[in-house]
Amino acid sequence: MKGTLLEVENLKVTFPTEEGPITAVDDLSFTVGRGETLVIVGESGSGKSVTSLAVMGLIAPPGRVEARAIRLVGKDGRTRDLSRLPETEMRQIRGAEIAMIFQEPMTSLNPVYTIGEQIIEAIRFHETMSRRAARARAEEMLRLLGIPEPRRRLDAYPHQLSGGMRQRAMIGMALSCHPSLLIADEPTTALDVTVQAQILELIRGLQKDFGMAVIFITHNLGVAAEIADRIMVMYAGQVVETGSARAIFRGTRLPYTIGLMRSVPRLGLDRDSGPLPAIQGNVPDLRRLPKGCRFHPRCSWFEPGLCDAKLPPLEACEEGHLVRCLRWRKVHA
Amino acid sequence: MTIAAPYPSLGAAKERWYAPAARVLRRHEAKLGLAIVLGFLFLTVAAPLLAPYDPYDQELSSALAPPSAQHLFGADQYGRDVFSRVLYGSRTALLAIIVADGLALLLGSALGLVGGFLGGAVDAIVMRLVDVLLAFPYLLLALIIVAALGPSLTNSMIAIGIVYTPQYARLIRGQVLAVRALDYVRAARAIGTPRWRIMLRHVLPNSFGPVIVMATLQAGSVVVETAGLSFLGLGAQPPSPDWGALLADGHNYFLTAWWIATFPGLAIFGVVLGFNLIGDALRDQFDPRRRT
Amino acid sequence: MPLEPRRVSGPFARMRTSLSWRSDRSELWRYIGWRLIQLAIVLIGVSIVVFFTMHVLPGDVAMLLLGDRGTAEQLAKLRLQLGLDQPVVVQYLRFVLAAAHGDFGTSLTSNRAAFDDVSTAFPVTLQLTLAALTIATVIGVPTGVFASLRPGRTFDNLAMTFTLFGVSMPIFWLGLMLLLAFGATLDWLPIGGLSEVGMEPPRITGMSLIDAALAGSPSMFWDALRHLILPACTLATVPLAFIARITRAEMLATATQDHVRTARAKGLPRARVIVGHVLRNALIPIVTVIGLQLGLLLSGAVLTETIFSLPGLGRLMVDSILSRDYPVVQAGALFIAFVFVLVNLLVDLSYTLLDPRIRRA
Repeated sequence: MKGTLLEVENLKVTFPTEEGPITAVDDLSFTVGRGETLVIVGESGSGKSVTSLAVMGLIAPPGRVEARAIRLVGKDGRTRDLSRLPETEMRQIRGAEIAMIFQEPMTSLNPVYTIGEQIIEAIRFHETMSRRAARARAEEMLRLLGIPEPRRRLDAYPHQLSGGMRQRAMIGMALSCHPSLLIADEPTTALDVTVQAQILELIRGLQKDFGMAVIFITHNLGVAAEIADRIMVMYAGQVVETGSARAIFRGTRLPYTIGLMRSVPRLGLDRDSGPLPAIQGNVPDLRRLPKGCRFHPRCSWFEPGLCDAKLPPLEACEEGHLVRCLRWRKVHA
Repeated sequence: MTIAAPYPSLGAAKERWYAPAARVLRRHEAKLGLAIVLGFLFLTVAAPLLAPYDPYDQELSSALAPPSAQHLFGADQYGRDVFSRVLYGSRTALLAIIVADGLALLLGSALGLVGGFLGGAVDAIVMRLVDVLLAFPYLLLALIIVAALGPSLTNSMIAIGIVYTPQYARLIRGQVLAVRALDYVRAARAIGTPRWRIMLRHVLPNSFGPVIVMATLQAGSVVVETAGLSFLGLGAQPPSPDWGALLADGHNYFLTAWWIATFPGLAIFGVVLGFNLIGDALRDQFDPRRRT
Repeated sequence: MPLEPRRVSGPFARMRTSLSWRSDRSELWRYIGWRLIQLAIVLIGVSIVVFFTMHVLPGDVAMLLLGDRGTAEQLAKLRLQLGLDQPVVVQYLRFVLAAAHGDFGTSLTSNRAAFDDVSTAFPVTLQLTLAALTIATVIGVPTGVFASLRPGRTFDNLAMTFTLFGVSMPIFWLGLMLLLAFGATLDWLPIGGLSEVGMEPPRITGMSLIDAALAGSPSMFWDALRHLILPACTLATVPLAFIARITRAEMLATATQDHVRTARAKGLPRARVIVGHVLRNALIPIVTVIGLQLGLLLSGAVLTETIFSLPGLGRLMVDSILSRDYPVVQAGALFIAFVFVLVNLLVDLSYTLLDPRIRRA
């Protein structure tokens, strides 16, 4: 059955600083369908990780999360508003309904417990199950993830595994309670390129087997192209473009996305084509956002008097494809 | 195993040396600490002016007199004015800080510099010496040294100085090793700059901050330790007005005359608190990671 | 060194990850062996320090022993008797050989073997130190944990103010004040000694609490406990403050680490995250600090035993120094240093239990 699994409406996350509050995520709305893969793309500081932590309810004070609603359809068919759920009930969601994996498998696993202990801990908290049965489930998960000798690996500590194995163990831990949504926050960034491809392949396969939806966060458009059903591009805390992966890779109308695509190195690109084009300038400081379009100081389509005057709204440039640009009609790759 | 200094002071050379101190003073705790320490320094100087009696004057008629308008902190078993003796005791405490903390700083820096710069066998010997000194609980080491030199105020200060030497040695050695690894120091060595110049130009300025932090925190400890040795009868000898010796007097009479021990103890506590307040604030400033 | 290395790299790291966990055990033994060698080297150094401070610095032991009373003839006889006519190296070797058999000579004041004096006094100090360390840990760690849960709030501020007072406290003064308040004024607790006259338990271990328990006498046990409370609390103050501060700092540092976020993302309850993941990982540095308190405790014991008239090792050392009873000073110094180094080794080894990553120095 297809349908909406997660619906985030008007999410806003602020953090107080000495110079006043900064808005890390600003009025963000999106949906994820069952079994769908949504890739959130953006540079560091664009708010993509904060978004995922907000959905998990893991923004620690003094950070503040506001939202009209974060609706999740549970495995039991009930719809819950996560933004209003008490902490005790939220815990039942984490791990069981939504699981998360992180960028650094080395630091994201607790160094003082074995892999097995960490997986079993998650299973036993969410499901009434004997230690032996939980261990069997954990072993099964590791086998599913292509870890050789899974029984022995259960008793290994994180530092005794390679980076790729560690990330597999992380994924095994996340999937051990069969969540309906997996949030993967740059899970391959810290890995070697060959391992990266294996992990991507693995996530794609498991997604099919488990019928689960994935929110995949990356700054790498190449990775996005591999696995995305839909793509959401973020810049300075806002959605700047969203649409199907096809639509965006075929014909983005956003100068920022064009810039990102151009800066991805491609095979066959030889030395004669000159240096790899990079987007000039830096991600803006959230405390000193430029007036108007937040990207305009770095934009090659910048029109004085227009782009620096008014914050562009999200506009549909085609069915289901939204861009935040006042000049999108003139923009093309 | 050696532990490098946890104070990341390298690379902060652009700032004026007093800039961190100025920032530290924005904190209330540091202000309080500085006020206490300045008050303490003032008393050491002004003791003769403020003391109503000679600290050695015995007035047997007022022996064990409780605190009153005449004797603010009461009088001891010989009728000596406790207030005056506490005031003069601040001088012994200051002397202890200068002699013991100074000795530890000089000895420790010398060992650390020599070990860190010469490396090899010299360094190994220095570090084993440090290990051996650290193999004694610190007061026990002080006891052994006092036992060897004989109980006296000077010897107790020397003993405490030696006890604190290893900490400075480790700190300075860590700084030297860190500086040695810096590219511009390697470059300086490559073009033949003499070692002693590198030491003077790079190691000493970089070590300034951490050494100040350590010296401030140790100053408080030194006051407690020398007073402790005097309390045990191994430091200042009667009748000199030393806070620890005063406390020892008070110990003998505490059931009948609580004031003899109470006021010198408060004085020690106050001075140590002052130094600790400043030292803590300084340490946070130099290393925000170690907010303990 | 960065607190959280982003990627482990270099040949060392590769060697680590490629090692199978089977070989960790033999590595652990190699590490213990290496630490025992280090311990032996340090102990040799310690014995040299103890020997030379006593034998070389003050000039002449024989003179020291006889004081002003000695005639030249007595002096010469004693020198011969003590082997002081031999070269220093020979004297040192004889000292070490004898010391290895527990022979430090005869106490000049009690006329017993110096080592017997030390071993009689040691249990008193051991009981006091252990009691203080227990109090400091049992109160200090939870204080630090609770303070870290809401940094900057009322409890944290109160706790940190008290710990600052604690680390600044001259404990010989604190002991006197406690005596004055609870012993003399309120008369709740005894003002010194190990037990009331007639309540001494038969000596088995030398530790009054355990001996009373072994004797099966509740009244003796209660009496021994009452005598222990004030000295133990006095001695516990400074370590308690240190432990609370380091616990708070380490909890705060650990709480921001990635794996704690993972634990929360698994949906674990807050208490489980705090105890099982934050505290569990913060324990490694906390145990280091608890171990480091031993030096503080043994030093503080000297002062505490003086205030509360306890016949412990610290008091014995001070008395022996004051009466120039140098065999006892030597025996005591070597003994304490030995215990101290040994406990430090045990603390180091306890890391291997707490932190599976540490399998080598």
